[in-house]
Amino acid sequence: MTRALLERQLAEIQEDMLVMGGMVEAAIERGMEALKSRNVELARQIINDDLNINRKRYEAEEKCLDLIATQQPLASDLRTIVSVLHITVDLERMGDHAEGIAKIALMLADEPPLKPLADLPSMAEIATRMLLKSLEAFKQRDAALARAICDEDDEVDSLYERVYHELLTYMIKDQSTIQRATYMTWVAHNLERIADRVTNICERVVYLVEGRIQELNVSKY
Amino acid sequence: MKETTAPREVTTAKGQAGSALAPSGAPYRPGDTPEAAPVVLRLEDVGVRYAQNPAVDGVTMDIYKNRITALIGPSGCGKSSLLRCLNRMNDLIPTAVVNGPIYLDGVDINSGDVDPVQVRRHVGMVFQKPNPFPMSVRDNISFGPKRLGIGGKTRLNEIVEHALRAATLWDEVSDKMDQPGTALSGGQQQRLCIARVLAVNPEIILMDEPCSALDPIATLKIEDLMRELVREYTIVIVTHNMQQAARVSDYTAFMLATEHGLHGRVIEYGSTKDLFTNPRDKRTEDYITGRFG
Repeated sequence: MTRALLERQLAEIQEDMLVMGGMVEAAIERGMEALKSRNVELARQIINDDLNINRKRYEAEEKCLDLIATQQPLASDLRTIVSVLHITVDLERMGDHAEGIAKIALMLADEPPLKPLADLPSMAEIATRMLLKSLEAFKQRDAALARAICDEDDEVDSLYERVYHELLTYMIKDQSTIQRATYMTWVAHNLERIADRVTNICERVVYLVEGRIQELNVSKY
Repeated sequence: MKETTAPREVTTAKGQAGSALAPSGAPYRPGDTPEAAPVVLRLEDVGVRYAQNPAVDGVTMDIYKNRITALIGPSGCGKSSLLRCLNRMNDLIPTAVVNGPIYLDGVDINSGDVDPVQVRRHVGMVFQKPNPFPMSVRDNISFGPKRLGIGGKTRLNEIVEHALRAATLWDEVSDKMDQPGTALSGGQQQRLCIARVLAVNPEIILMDEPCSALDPIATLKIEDLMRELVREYTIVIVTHNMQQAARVSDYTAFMLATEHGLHGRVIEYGSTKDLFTNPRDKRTEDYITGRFG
């Protein structure tokens, strides 16, 4: 085996990306926890921790660009680096969505609860499960798994529509709920976007394995 | 299958463009590549051996007109041997034996009644080390046309200027036409050699490691020149520099020998973009990512 330095640097950027994935997963879970438990301290911590996710993304980008400039990667090496570049951007944006949930938790902390949370935690659970599976598909270079994960996005979309209509009903019936219900639709929207971004990761896994750039999450509209 | 052993008898050339000898067998097109350009060279099960040592084996491929095709692979994989087949340069090696037809515009250049000198007029070659003749810049270029019977000072001067302009050398040497070609810089000498090939108006230009003796700037000038020339000519280049193949070529063939210097084969042939981003064969992947050996 030659190119030990390249091998080591490639392993490092992938490891960094997976660590970043773990940070994002934690941010989503903690964001939902802050929302449920109305924990202002936790919400503030998530907002603060998002800076670390952002920093991690810029570090990854810098390492990838250094690799391209200094090692002239080709074939699967090149596809790995390009995939990491894209995936870290998606992860960073997912971190922003988790931060968005934390901000809403802050805004709702002093408001009476609209209703017990049911569908939103389900959306979060599916989205984080999709995220973990997509990172596993990346690790295993499993394009079939990546494609299968995208099907789960439909579940998140259905839940999003349900939550949205339910919250609209609240707003129509009782105008005093408008602000809280609007905030809750933002939470749902953040979760729906997180799941969408997981499908972007899956597209990169397919590219990594098969060399084809292909849209997996085709809009139904 | 035809077998030809060097040296050949020189006979009348029949390898004119547009001849109607139909090639046999299915054409080989690089995978998944919609290519509108016509096939200018077709190799069918081509092999080369030196005495009893097979250097190239079973190469079947199409070379497309007005495209740059790069042959890459480790040392001893047979890429230069294969390149030399394309204008019968192997004829000059006494032990070389070439098997299999190579159709240039439909005519098998290995056929017994084809004149190798005429083949080389249609298929010119630029070598690794710039090799200007020990004569003036002007005479270097006019040498070939004169040998073809072209006369008249004005006509020859036109050809010389045209060839030097096409090789992007005119502006640098127009005031040095009577100086020795060997007095030019390495990069200029290589462009002089390219101009020398252009002066006999070939259809195809073969380049065997044309930049390996040049510095990076001279290398990039040759690469720019290749992209210009491919509008008018077809180029086949052998290069050890994979980045060069990636930069300049439209198609790339990866060759590998099963033993060093023996049984070189084309492992994968495809569009350069595909081969360098998503090779189909693990051996290609290992080579281009530097995991080879």
